[in-house]
This record gives sequence, C-alpha cells and structure tokens, in this order.
Amino acid sequence: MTVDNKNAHTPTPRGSWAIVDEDGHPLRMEKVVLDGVTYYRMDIFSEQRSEGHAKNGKQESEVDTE
Amino acid sequence: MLAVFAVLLLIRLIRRGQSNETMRRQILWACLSALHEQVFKNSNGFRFTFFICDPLFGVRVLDASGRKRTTEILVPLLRKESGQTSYERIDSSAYYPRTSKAVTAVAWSAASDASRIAPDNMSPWLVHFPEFQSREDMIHHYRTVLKIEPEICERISDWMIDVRSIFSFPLVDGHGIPMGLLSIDSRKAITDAETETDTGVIDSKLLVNSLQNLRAVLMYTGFGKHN
Repeated sequence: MTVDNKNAHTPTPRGSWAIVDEDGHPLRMEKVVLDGVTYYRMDIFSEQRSEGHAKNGKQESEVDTE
Repeated sequence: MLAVFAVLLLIRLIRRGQSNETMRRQILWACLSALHEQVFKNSNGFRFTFFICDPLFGVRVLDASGRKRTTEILVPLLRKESGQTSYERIDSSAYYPRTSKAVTAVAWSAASDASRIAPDNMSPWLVHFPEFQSREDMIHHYRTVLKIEPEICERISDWMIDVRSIFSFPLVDGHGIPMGLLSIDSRKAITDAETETDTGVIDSKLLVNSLQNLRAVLMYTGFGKHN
C-alpha cells in the first residue's frame, strides 16, 4: 500500500537532523566546490576506521609481547 | 514444432529472469525499509531512492570541447518512501547523466574514480536547499545555482519542493566498482552545528552498519557495473 505523496506539497517540517558520533556530537561536513557548485562531504566512517586502527594496534602490540 | 518449443523455452527463460529480478528488488527494498525503520525511525521526512547505471541506454551530451558524446545515465531502480508497506514499482521519470552536476551524478563519478575513494568508503555527498515557495522557485534554483540541465529539472517531482538536503551514498564493490547509489532526500536540513535546537539524531554507527549490510546484499545479489 502506498500513500501517494508524490505531488503533495505539505508544510516544511521545522528543525533539522544531525548525524552524530558515539558521544552525540554532530559529524562535521566538509565544503567542496566543484565547477562553481557547492557540495558537502561527511566522513561517516572515521570513527570505525579509528576503532579498526586501535584494534590493529592492539593486535600488533600483543604480537610484540609474544 | 521445434519453433514452438523454442518460443515456449524463451518465454519461460524471460519469466524466470523477470521473477529473479523482482525478487532481487524485493530484497533490496526490504533493506531500505530496515534502514528507514532502524536508523531514521520511520520518519516521513525522508525518501530513499536506489540508483543504478542504466545497462542499456546513455544520452548524448556536450563535452568541454563542445563535441557531442554518449555518456552513461543513472536511473532510479527502486524507492522506499513513507507510507509504503511493501515493494512496488517505482514511478519516476528522473535520470542523471554521469556528467551532470546533480549531487547523485557527482557522487557516482567520484566513486567511479578508484583513486578518489576507497572500496569501503561510502561516505555521502550532500547538497542543501533553501526554502522554496513554488515549483518555479525550485526549478530556478536547480538551474542557476546547481547548474542542472533544463530537461533534467523538468523531471524533478514536486516532492522535492520541500526537500532541504540530499545525501548520496555511492556503494562500491570489493574492486571499487560502483554497484549503485543510495540517495536520501530529507525534508529537514542536515546540520553539523552543535547549538541547533529541535534537532533529530541519526546514529552514525547504525547508519554505517546498515550501509554495510546493504552493500553486502548488493554484492550477493549480483549488482555491479553491468546490472
């Protein structure tokens, strides 16, 4: 079942959304201008990568101690 | 007799192909539905569209030197929007040439360039919009600020009048080849300000997990450069 809202023009909801990290802080957006048009990029994987690096680091140190 | 048998076999193969394709879309739709529910709390302020590169058709565009050449186009394969409780065919005439300045096309182009994006990096490209008073107002912004081709602007649905941000996630396979692109239209602006009041929260960890699940499903169901 579908609610046909393709052509509906409802009032714009107020407020905003933020993509947040573990501590509830909004992830930063980086402004990118290409051919005069402004876009933004957001690195949503940074936290995961740093976790991965931490894990790798731990594994390496475990190997070292052995 | 042999010809009749060949025709029947062909019909059977086509039906099986259609059935497999429908099943593939239903699986993908279920993933988008889970993403909507778990990450975006089923908010009716979001619309999710999955784009692929059209395997058959392209369009002729002018390149930088003024010559016409054929470029691939991105077409919507399916959509999850508020109110839908099961998969159904998408009703959209939108498409974006890869050379377009639409955020969907820019995200796809960046993902296609393996040197600019790691295979596991599906971080979004975003574009923000002011409040529009009318469709004409919106089209004017698309044409003059976002520099999107007039024929593409005409195909944009009225739903977009109230959209404040679009974020586009390219989804690439293990070799860095784009399998598809998830575009999320948000009727509230996406912000990175700490001080905003009345701000909804999207958990980045949940979002990343859902995107990785979606990517795994795409890889498993055979999405790739030639869909």
